Amino acid sequence: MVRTRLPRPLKMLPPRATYLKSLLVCALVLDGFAAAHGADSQFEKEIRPLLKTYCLSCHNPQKKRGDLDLARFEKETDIGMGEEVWAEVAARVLAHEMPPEGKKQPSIEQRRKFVRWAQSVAKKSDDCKQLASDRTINFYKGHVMSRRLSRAEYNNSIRDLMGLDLRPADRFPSDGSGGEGFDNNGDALFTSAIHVEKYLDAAEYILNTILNPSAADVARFSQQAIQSARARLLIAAPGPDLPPHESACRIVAAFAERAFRRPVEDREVERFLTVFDRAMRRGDSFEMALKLPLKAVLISPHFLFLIEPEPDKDGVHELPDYPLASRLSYFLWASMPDAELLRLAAERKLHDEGFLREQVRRMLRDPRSRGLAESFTSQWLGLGVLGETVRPDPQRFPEFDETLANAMRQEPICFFDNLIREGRSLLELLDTDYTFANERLARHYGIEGVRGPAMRRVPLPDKNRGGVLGMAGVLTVTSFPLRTSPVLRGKWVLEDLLGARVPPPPPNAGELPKDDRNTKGLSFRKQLELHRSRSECASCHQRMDPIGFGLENFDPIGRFRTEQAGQPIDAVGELPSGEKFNGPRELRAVLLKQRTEFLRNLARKMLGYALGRQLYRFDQCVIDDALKALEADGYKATVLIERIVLSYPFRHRYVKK
Amino acid sequence: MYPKTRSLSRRTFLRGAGAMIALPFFESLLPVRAASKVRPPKRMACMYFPNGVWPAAWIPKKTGSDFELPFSLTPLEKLKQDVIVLSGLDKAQSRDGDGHYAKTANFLTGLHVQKTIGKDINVGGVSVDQVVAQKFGDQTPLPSLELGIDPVISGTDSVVGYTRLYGSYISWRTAGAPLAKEINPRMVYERLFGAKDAAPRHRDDDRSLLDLTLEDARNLRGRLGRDDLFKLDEYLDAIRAVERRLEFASKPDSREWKPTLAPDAAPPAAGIPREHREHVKLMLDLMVLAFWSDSTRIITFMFANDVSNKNFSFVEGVRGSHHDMSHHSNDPRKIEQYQRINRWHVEQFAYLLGKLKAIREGEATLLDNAMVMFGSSLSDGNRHDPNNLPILLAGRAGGNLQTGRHIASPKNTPLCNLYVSMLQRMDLPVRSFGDSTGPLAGLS
Repeated sequence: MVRTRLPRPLKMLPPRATYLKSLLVCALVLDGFAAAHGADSQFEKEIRPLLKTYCLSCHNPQKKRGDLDLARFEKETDIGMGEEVWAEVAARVLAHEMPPEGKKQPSIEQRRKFVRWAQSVAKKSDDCKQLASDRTINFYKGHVMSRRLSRAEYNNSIRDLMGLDLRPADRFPSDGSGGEGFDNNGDALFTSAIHVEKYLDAAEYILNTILNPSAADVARFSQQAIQSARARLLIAAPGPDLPPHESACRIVAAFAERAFRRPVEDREVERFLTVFDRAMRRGDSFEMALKLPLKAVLISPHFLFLIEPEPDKDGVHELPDYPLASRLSYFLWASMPDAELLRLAAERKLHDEGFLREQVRRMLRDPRSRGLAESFTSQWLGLGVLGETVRPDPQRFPEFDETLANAMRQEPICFFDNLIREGRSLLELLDTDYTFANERLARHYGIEGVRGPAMRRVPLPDKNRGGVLGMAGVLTVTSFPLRTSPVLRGKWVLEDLLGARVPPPPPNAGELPKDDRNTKGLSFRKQLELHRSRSECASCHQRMDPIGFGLENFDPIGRFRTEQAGQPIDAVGELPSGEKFNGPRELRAVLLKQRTEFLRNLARKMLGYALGRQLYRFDQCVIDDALKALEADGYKATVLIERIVLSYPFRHRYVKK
Repeated sequence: MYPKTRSLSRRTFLRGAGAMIALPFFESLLPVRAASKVRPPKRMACMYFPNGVWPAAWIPKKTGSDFELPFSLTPLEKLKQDVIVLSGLDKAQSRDGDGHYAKTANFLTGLHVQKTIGKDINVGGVSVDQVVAQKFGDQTPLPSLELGIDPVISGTDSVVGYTRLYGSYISWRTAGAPLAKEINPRMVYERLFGAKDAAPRHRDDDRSLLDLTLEDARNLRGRLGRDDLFKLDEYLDAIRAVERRLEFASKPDSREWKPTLAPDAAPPAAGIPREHREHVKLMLDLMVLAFWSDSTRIITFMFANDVSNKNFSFVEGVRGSHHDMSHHSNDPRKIEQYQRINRWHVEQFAYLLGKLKAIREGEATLLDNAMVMFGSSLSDGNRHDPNNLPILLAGRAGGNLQTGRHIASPKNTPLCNLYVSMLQRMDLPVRSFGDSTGPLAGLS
């Protein structure tokens, strides 16, 4: 790949520009903010002509390349329409990604002037301090919706409620995602009749297993486990001193209180007991009759929905202790609060920053924090499709079976879980010298001496692996069934890891053969480079492909290789910024320099997950704050999570009537 | 010429090899029942496959009844007289938006898809299948059945600005709420035939529990904000739907039409088959069972979610996956394989039609009493083209469709015109639906 390159004018730019010099752009989606800017008529005199000469041939309303129309900015007063546009435009022009190769290029001076102007337009005022009040509500649109539990949350809640890991939600329909891409987004969680049927079935199955184990299919559990679950549920046996109704009352009250994650009122319990009384009158046994109110609890909206009741007044309100306890536990455990959290809520201590921080630390050390690792990691990395809709070709890769796929899914979860539990640096996700594997996965990686199906920490002697980029699951979901895809892998790194924006290909873009076996004497890489020679493709592909090339040493199921179809692997890549690397190890070093983008994206994803909603302008303050805290404290995973929990949006609720 | 034995029970043929449901299709398995005077009910199914087609191998050259089946439609050779090939139908509301999500979510609504990553999900209106289900769904145990193969696509596409769940649903109960689809064959079977096995007491108990819950949810309404109310109301509606279903099962069956299928049950193997062909076949068999047993009269089925990149190397002559192959960039080798993937889907459609045709109902067959629409939300997938969509319509809707023809509609005819005509044939006297300009001309 031979390319002429203009000298880069970085040194002439203000210091803020250095972090922008990356190939990447962190596209902040800022909501509904159209402030007037102080740029003088410079726009019409000097900037607009530059746009005309270098940009508008593609970024016009007709072609709208990359979904970007710059022609709509005709007058200085139009500029405010697209604050977020200019930040991205500045970064892309600065990184020499725009105008793309093969198109007319501006002079150094023109480029410098343009970038400086665009950056000044994009510069945000410091909202963070002034916005955290009821008066500035318009910027704080972070409405967290009362919503039903996701599948994972339902399973975990039942496990913690019953003391038995029954996993009934595995039979529920799958959930879609919204907001920042997670399935705990209320807007995207729908309830169909089929859900209610499943909730009824699940309640029946759960209670049968515990109350009537002889009738239920309970081979999965030991008698001892079931007996202890029974004892946990049946806290008051009827007897000479305790009439059945009273006994049921105590059992149901205690159960509902835990299920609803708040105190229950007597009349709520009495209502549930009407079905118990009726069953007793018709001659049901005590336990058969008891099953009915318990079942009612399990299909109640108070259990199935995370409800945050609303005060009468519009505005931003501090979240009361009980809903805060649930927000906290569903974020950190993807499950219900435990007794300690509920006790603190009852004592109204939880909203106190000191107690809250202490709880975060306790909860992250608890094994239940694996719920966060499971839900967050697999959704962030996009691993849900592994072995489902994304499957390597079975003939070509017979090694890929359910056992291997399962280990591939577990690897990033165990890794992230360990980061949280041990308070390790988030940068280990980019580069480190260990991973988690069982015998099967270790063999896949060519590591000897690991025995058995349990995942455990394994040192990586081979410096080519380390961090998520060396994980087989990631490498497999970014491949096609019959070959690797440098494009998909590059796109994955840019979008999912670094939070950049890669526009979709224009219609009629070329495609490559589906199989990587050598065709027409051209190496696969040569064909891809040919494809990139078209200017409309080049601007994105010169960002994506080099990264993917750096990962070419990994085959479509993530095994290390040095040759392919009889030719040695060429894993050299060069980014538009001029940075070069050869192979995964050097690529990781380059990516480590992009740590700000990586951490910013991770913080954004984590906040989006914590809140279960789309992020808005004000949320940016939390991300900025978390980044500062991370830098000051060794990039610890726990620091990020703590900052999020202590943040304003997490502890408040926006109410619109 | 009916045999002397009674029709085989489901149990007999469900014990086929492995997870397969082997449906009877021999003449010898037809029921003893003499043709009754009761008219069998009309059924409607809408079947979706992703990523479009190669139009040159799909659209017949001639119109009318004297046409030849192009390559992708050749599996319909024996069923040509039962099918209408429709060309020239557009979905104008999908001309903007992204290449896929804005085109699939409204496959059955025909209206604009709101660009969003979550807030205010909206597909313009209720889907055509649900319009029928909401009107006549109370006549069967299940108002409708939503089936598919893939789990919902997770994540949001921040680049095009859509939540990916748009690519996973075609049935919409309201403009803002899709219906969850069932992808597990065993679960479908249990939904179809499980409830009848439940003891009556159990059913009454469930109903009183649902009543309690309904009350709970109603009390809660007053304490919630606007958006939260929508979510809770969805739950309320879902509870009512299940109550109706339980009520239906507890009352004597008032339907005049008695299905010709024995009511005992033996489910297919648990779990979702790993093999795509097997999975699809099971779901198609279940569709036949659902119609045959009159468990429902409305079904939607998605062969895959949109943008599906399923590996189709199991099809002879194909080496690669679906979405990639649809972006053929006019390379003849890819187009060849794209057509073969299209043809595989038509083959499955033909399989379903064959099964429906083998079941006698009254004077005719189940297929004659049904109307099965089959198509994609794109024509040429390479261009993400929402015009001139590939649509087939099979069955006679109880004698109201003149099949065995290719009908080419004039330019700019809305796909929704077909939906108007379908609704009318399902006894809903509507004049418009979605962006329709009238009924579709020439269907009968």
